[in-house]
Amino acid sequence: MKRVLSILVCILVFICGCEKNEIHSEPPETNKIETVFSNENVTSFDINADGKIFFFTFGETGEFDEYSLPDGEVIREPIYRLSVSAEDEKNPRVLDEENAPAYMCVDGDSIYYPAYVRENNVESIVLFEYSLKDNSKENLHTYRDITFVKKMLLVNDKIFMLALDPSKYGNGETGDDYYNSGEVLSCFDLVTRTESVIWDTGAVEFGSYENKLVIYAHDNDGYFFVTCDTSTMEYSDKIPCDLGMIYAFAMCGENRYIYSGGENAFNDSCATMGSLSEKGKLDIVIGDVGIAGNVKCSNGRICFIDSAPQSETFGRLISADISSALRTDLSKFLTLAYSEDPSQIPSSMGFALNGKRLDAEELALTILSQDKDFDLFLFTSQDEFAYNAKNKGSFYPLNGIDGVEQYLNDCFPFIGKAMTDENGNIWALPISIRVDTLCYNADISERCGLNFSDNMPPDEFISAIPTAQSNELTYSVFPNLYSDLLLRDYLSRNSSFNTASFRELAEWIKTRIFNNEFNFSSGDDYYAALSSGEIGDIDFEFIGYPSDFERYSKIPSNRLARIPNFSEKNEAICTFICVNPFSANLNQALDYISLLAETLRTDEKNLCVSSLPVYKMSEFYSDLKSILDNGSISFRCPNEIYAESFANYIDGEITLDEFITEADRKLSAYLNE
Amino acid sequence: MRKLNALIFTLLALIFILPVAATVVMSFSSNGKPSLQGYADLLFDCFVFYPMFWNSFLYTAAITIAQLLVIIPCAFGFSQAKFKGKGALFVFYIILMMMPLQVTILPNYIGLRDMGLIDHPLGIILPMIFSPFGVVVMHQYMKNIDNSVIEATRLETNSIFRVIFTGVIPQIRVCIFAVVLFVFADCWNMVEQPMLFLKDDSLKTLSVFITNAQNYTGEILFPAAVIFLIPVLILYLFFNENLEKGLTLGDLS
Amino acid sequence: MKKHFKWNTKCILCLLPSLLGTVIFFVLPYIRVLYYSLIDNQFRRNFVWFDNYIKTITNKYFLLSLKNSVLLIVIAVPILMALALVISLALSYGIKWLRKTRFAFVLPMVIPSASIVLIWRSVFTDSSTALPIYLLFIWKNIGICIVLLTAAFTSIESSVFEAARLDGANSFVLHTKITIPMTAPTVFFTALLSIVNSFKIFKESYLFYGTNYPPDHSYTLQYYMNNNFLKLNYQSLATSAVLTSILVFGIVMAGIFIQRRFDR
Repeated sequence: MKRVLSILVCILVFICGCEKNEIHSEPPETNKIETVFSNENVTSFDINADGKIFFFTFGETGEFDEYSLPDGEVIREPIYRLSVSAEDEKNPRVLDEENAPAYMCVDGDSIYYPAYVRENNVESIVLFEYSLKDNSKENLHTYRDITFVKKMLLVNDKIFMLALDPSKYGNGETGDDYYNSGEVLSCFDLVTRTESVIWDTGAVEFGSYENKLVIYAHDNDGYFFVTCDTSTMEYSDKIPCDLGMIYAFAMCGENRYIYSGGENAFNDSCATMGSLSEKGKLDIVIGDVGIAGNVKCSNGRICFIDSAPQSETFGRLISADISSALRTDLSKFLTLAYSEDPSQIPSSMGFALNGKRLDAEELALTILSQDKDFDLFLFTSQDEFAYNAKNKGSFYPLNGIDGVEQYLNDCFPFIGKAMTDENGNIWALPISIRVDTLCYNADISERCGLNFSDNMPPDEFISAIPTAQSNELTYSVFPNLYSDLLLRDYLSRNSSFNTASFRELAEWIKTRIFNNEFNFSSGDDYYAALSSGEIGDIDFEFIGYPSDFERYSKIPSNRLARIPNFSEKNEAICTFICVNPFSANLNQALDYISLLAETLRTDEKNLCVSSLPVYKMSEFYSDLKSILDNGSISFRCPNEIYAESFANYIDGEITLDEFITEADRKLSAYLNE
Repeated sequence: MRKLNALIFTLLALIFILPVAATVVMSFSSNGKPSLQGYADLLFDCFVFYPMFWNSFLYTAAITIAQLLVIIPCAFGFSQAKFKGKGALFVFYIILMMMPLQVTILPNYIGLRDMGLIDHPLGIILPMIFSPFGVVVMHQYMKNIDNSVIEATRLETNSIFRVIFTGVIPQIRVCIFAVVLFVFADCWNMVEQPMLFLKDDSLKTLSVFITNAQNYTGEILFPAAVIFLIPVLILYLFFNENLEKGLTLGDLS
Repeated sequence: MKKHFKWNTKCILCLLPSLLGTVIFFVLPYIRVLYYSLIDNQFRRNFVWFDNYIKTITNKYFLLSLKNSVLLIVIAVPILMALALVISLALSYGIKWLRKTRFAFVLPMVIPSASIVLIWRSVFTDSSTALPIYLLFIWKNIGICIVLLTAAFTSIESSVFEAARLDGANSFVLHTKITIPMTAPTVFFTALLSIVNSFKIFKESYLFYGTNYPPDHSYTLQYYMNNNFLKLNYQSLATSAVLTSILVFGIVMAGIFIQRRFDR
């Protein structure tokens, strides 16, 4: 009997153990983009109660207006009209508006939108109702004092509009980033057809969920939220919350909201999810897109018009799946501190990850005073802090954490080495790697005989540039970046400037990079190619970021070469996470690291992993791999030690000897204090 | 001979006042031409100036008043009480007074954080109230007070507060003015503590504002410096006559 | 007897608020610093006793900064005191209206560092010696010395002077043999205060050079401590702090010793 019981218990325990493993190997949440509409000219959109998406586009009708000039010449210009389409409608309706409205609201069979109307030389904003049933347009209300509509929502038969009233424009600095542009929030009741101003100063953004209106505003005490029940028009108390100056906001749940901009966002291409009732925040990464202004949530996804110029879907209406973010428990959050804006943020792995920027002194104080408030630190290997933090050992060693060692073994060896200190402790987890490379179009070797190979000495590289210029290639290599790279490369191998090799290097930089007759950039054609997104036109330039590699690899004739320097190694910059050993949430932080390590090991876009399949998929990427095979990470000394003096030397204000004495003094102090 | 001396000293005074005069002059100029643009930029456009000015004033006033309440009894106690190790204790105070800021700032930060006073005005006010500087100066002056007055007051009342209030304070009135002036100037000028212990910008002081003046638009550094001078100057002028007679310091030991 | 005892207790109780505050805000942090100076690492906390001290004392940058700080004290403070004494004597015993010029000497005390450094930088463009910093130190601290000294000088009763003059003493003898000895405690205290303020000139020096690594002649103890702070090198910071406090202790003891001998 006892034996049977103990076997049963063992089986139960075993099953429980397996389940635990399953949770760990659950795939991480993905924020997929589904393009909704492929026409670029989407100006505004709304989602109705059934989840159907309506949007305005602006297109040619095929008709032409004719104008006669005094001299008899006739000009024919195409007529543009606004049309409203639903997601699956084949026949868009055409509306007769000169300017596309930036906002629209859909309710039942009616579409409400604001438009400019000019009457007697006075331009005012008019609220129109367009009926989908009979294609009729009705003028509901003329707004007298406002000149620009910032946002419009329909809640509970009331149209709420956030607009600019120039008479309420304020000026002066308030001490934080709020700037009073004269926003007023007005309410137009569709039943009684009356307008009233409900918030006359300081409203920054607002959103709604069912019958609740949520306003994010600013007053003398700072930023705060206030909610309003639209049935009774009763306001709640102020909920102070400093998100900074946000430029997109939407409610996606009873208390949850999503926003873009402000203080907590790492960069422009993600949004942050927060909650009115909880402290945690979750950064949502969607890709190389931008959210600004128009964003709405419905059915576990957010829809927005892509506002990132460099993105392929710029101007289009796209949606992303945020259902897993919605499921995340925001009370389970981790605080991440960083000192310089990282180019890559780690994915949240089901935790609410809240980023906070600290400057040098605050960071030193936080680390030295063993602050419990921060759980993780995000550094790049360029940060001065990284070097010092590693040596002081004030980070939790990650050796015993599941998945970390396997991940490091799969990374390039130089990365693994940089993440381990002298005693064999793994002190950080690498998240992403970037390395400056020379990307060139392989066709140019036919066109002008320039061969950028991997073993090109710097002299040959510099000599190639005038050839490129005379052959009218489109290119740009930044002299300051190149010079900085060479200096950093020197510093990673030497601890003093007072050497013969440095003197040679400095003279070489001064004469060959800075004091010459040719241009390091082909000028306007390069910038034109860059801004229009036609990167295939660029013949060669320096690129370094993983997103750049992805884009440039799509041009078939593009290849990569290392940037020519005076050593064998290519310096790479690694972004990594460390765990604060004094954190109050240490166990959660370590769980997070473990999940993150597993994900990063199998993430197909993580360039740190040397066995990544993409490295075998194209010549471009195999070039990258061979560059990274010779990679090195060096933690460098602060810029102030040599940067300004070196610039003075290049300008001729001080001699080389003076630079060497000055910089060496500082470098020796820095290393030996 | 005397005239020559007078001339030399006037010249010396002029040299000393030159940088201050330069500050004032530069506050009234903008791009090389005399104008009130700097003041206009500061007073009308820079809204953070007012709360920071008020903060400076509030903290300094609070610290000064509280310090007086703490150090007068303390100095009195030092001069009157008899116990072993009094001398050593006093030397200890002197050593604490001489600690450079870098020594104490990190442990102070840790202590304040454990008490939850970071980003709170009390985090600035409390440590400064107990700064040993006031105790040392006040004690030195108290050594020279007339004990007979104290004896006389003690015959009348048993309450030690009455003794201090009616007996001692009138005698050291001059010294109080001096200490108030020094403490006020000291607190008015403090920069590191507000910068590191206060995170919220609306709680920071004017001295921090001036240190970060280049972050704000307009030529506001010199006008702000001139305005910064004025309160302490007023205090000095107010106390000027009182700083004369009656101030002698006692022995260090 | 009992009344005396109660009185004494009450006096001791007067000390309590200040003592309590000092212990919480100054002594406890200092003990913490002492503890940190004896361990190897914030995280591992192994006692290494005096290893850190040896490392710091043999560090050439610590010695450089110590030398510079001591030089500042040894050179600038006596000059400051001499100048302050001469000016205070002139103000106290000279022509009466000269007293008005005391105002000019006190003003530098309250100017904010940021603005004065700008002016100083445009005047003193040569940074090959530490002269600008010394001058800035003297300029800034003359005010407080003059206030203290003139207050002390003017409270000596004139009868003393008259007696001395009757004996045929001239101005110089008068002052060196009577005024200064009579106000010796004040003079000592002012010297001590100036030494304290010599540590505070770091702020101005930092703004003047604009960098964490000024020329070697201006690299003082505070630079060493501040740089180690930013480099997260807490052990160096703690040991140099403790060593500085020992230095300060030595100065104070020396001061008291000299004063005692002077009294005799």
